[in-house]
Amino acid sequence: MAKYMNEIVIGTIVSVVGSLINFLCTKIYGYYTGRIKSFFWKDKYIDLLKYSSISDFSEIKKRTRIVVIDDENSFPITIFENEGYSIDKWDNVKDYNKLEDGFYDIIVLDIKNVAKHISEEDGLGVLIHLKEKNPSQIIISFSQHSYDLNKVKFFQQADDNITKPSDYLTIKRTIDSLIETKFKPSRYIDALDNILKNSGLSSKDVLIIKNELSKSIKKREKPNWTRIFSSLRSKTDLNKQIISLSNTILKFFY
Amino acid sequence: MDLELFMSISKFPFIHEREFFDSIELKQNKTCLDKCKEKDCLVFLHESNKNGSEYICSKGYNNYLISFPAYNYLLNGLIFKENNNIPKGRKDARKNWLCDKSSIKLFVDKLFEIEKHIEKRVFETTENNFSMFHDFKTSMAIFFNCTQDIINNLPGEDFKKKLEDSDKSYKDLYNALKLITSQLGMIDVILNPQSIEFGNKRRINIYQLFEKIKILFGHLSDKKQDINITLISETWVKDCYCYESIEFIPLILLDNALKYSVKDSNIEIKFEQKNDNLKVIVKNIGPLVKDGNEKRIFDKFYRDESAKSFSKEGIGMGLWIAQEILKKHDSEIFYYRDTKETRPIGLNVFQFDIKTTE
Repeated sequence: MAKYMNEIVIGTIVSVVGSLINFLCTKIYGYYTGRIKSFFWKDKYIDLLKYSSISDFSEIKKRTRIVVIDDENSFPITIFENEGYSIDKWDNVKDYNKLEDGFYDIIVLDIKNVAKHISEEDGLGVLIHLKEKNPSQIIISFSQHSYDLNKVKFFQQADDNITKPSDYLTIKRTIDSLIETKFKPSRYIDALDNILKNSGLSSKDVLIIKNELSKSIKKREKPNWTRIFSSLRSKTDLNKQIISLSNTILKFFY
Repeated sequence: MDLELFMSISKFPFIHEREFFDSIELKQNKTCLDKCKEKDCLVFLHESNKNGSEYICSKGYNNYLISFPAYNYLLNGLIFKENNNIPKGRKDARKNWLCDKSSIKLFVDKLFEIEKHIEKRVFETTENNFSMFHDFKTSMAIFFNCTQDIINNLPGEDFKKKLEDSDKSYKDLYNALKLITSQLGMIDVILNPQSIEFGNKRRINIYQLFEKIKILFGHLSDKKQDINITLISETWVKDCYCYESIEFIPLILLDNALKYSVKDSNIEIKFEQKNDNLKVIVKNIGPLVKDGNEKRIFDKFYRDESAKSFSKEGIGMGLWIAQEILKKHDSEIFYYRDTKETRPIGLNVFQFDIKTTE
């Protein structure tokens, strides 16, 4: 054993020094390029989908916030409430920030007489703007004007359509189908990844954000966005988008 | 452009639906009316659909097809200046029918301009009447809400269960409202065919749709002298991946079958599922579509003479809507009849295929 002692010591020293140099190199590389590399020089990525999310439909249904924006009372709100849906009714767009911030997961939107005070194009203007801000926002067109050739864009840009008037069971089928197919953590995580990828933030900053989300899921605590954004140089608009999407993502985990 | 209007403005004699018409300026060429036995121009009119198609008939005369969405007209018995099939002597004798092809083209261009203008005016008129349509939909919504509130106040776990356990009259009321809503949806398609594709495609079982409509039409078939509706399927019918508008197909086909069925007859709806293809065949005994009109019954506003004489109801839109919807599902509906049947009443068959994969 003593015969090989020298070789063992030298080998250990070489390994430790080599690792140290590799570690320092990843840090220096990260400092200059803004990209985070692992010890093996692979891009670091936090996969939020590794955490188990809520899959029970009735639970997801309760957590899905729905708002119906309609100047008439043709949507069976009471029946939806009775059946455990979290649903609000607005006669017009009374709090645009709430829509923009992604407070509601599903927006059921009429085209006429709901947003004249904020957009010349009324409901269509709201739909276009919200989709621009957050393409993953689920919007359902709910209008009597499906016959109107001038309003085709409204129906085409929406995620789904509910003909007005429609019976409760038909409306429920459309909403349930959207919850099942589009209200999924993977869809919002992908949307967040896309926003972060195109945001101009360094991969180090992206990792900080994803790490905060990951911690939040593990500890079941709200993320500390103030602390996170104070250290980042991101724009307010982007921060809003990140918070809005993150809040939706977290709904699936606790 | 309908026959009446075309007759009033056409500069040239023409054929429409196998009938020869004079124009306001020029009578039919005598050869076409009296001397020609072949009448091959009629075959050309029947087989051709492309606007501007030309044909030189067995007698050497020029024929020019004008095709509008629901109407075909064949300008016949003309002699274009470059036509060398007609001997000079006959050309001289038929001077009045000599014309420039460019003048025909100009005339057709004008016709299409008029057609465009008419369409625009129709659209404007429809738009002016939108408010009434809108009000009707609003009233329907109130009706729906009241009905749903009544059902919701019944005992039961949830709305679906309450409806299922409710009295037949409640179910009938609810289903009748759904039927009216569907019919309103069909008006949307007439005014705006793009509405067929509004919303997402979803899994829909066509067999169940027909069954649902059969139940909805229960009252109607009772009234229609015991016409029986039978659904036949030897295997399980798979779900299709369709737009919501597909529900109009059973509504239209069953409504038509009921409207055009003779007393004490049977309407048979057969489903054949082969791999990922579903074939739906609707058979009924009623007035047969006239020979040569098998495709035209799918034109907008077209009603075959046999249908008109059998039933006063209908505007000739149902089959057009059905065809438009199926086109959006990469499918097509066909009409078949027994070609050997000489009596006016016989077996009518409507058939379409639809994919049962995404």
